[in-house]
Amino acid sequence: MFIPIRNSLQIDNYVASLISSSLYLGIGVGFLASGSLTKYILRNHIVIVCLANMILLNLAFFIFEGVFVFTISRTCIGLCIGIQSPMISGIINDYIPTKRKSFILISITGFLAIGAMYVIFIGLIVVPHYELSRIRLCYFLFLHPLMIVFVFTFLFLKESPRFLILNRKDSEAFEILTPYTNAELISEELQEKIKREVIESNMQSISHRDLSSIFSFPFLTMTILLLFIYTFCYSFTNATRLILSLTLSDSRNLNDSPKSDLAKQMLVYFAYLIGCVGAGFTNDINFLSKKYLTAIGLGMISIIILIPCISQDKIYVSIAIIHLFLPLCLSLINTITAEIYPKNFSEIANLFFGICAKISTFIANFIFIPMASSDIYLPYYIIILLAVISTVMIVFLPSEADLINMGIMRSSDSTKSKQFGKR
Amino acid sequence: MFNEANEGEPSETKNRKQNLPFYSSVEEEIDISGGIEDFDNDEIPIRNTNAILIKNELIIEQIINNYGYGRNNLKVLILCCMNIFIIGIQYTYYINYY
Repeated sequence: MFIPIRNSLQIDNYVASLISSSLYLGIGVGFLASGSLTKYILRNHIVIVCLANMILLNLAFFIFEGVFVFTISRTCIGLCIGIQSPMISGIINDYIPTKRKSFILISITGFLAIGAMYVIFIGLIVVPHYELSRIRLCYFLFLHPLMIVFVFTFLFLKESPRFLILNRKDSEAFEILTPYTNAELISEELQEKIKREVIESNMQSISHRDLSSIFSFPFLTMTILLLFIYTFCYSFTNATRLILSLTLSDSRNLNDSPKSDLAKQMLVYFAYLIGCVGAGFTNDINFLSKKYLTAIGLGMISIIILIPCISQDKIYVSIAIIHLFLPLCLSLINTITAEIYPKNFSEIANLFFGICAKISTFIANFIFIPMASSDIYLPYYIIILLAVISTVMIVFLPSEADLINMGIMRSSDSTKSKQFGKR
Repeated sequence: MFNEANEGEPSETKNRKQNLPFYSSVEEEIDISGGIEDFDNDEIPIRNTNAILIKNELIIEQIINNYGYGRNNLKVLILCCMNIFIIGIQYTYYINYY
């Protein structure tokens, strides 16, 4: 909806880039705040509040319109997304069986692409030729699935028993567990046993943990630094979607059919969807293979991205290929943090790198659009450079042998040790 | 946090232990290779905060796996997917061409 909204609000590309970036800034701040919120509020309640806020913010823009309202709305929606995303992944992480956890967690991010495809379809049906008079109908159509999901989430989404037990709300936990299992298995005797073994032990060691705790392991300093540079560099590629919008906008001919543009956009999101499922399957291959697969992927990105330099018509192909590898790049971070930290620390580490990624995308969106206005290929050259740096960072990340030397993995059975870490 | 090397150990071992992360310090006393079902939780020594942390994680994991709410998760999975779908709409509708 970039072009219709830009035209509707009568703003130039520079202001558009600022508003676009504000979303990522909001997400970064939201990620940061999400950890603290879980100490006081249950995660399902946080998700419900975020959805309600999104409805209100969308309604505000639907009613009042205007650049200021839109900027505030996008920033706050970013904040809600930033808070909501870790909650959703945390809840699903607690519910799914261990052996399928990694695959499902990565694969379901493909629903982001499905949401984007929905937006494209609505755009094609309602404003096929950027009719400003019908733009508000689009806003409404983006709003109604939000309301439906809010109702379903409000009625059916429960907090996970694991989280409740960790937060000393064992009676509520067993209330949720009861319909799922044989009532005899959660007898009073078992409840007493769990109380004695779990709740009366020092649970504060689990609940009181913050972002700084992931830096408390001196032997991981270099790994964290490499991962940070890697995350920062590869996240710049997220900005390519917006650059694609601009490129299509600039190269659009009045005689072009909207369907051809639709196909180009669809290809990008379809590639992302395939990438999510593919990245899920790579969890079955060992750690080192995945590392080098990602390195090769990033290398390919940096080569294939040169295509737009040859022909501007093929920009969408290169961006689709980037999106094919993006989920794999992301899952590499999850894999490594799962290897080097225990579960609760790895969740915080993932959150930290998620914040880095959003801040990086914020900067990319902010600088690339004005840059693309002067030279459309300049952002691509920068992305090539950053992709090469990311590839180098992966090569220098610790191998299995390094992890064994550091005492993180055992040489006798690294696979089982790895599974232990992934829990 | 990890400076709990025993007295009387060879200095090499002691130094190694001082530098080891939590996994190793626990693995030396708990054999986790056979899975969490293979040991009695009462026998897990609590040497430091990380050992407590891992012990509690394992017990909770045991509860979840043994009493299997993980097998009845379709509703939660669908709800989470719906939420991600919504994030997809809100996340991208401004930056999409259409």
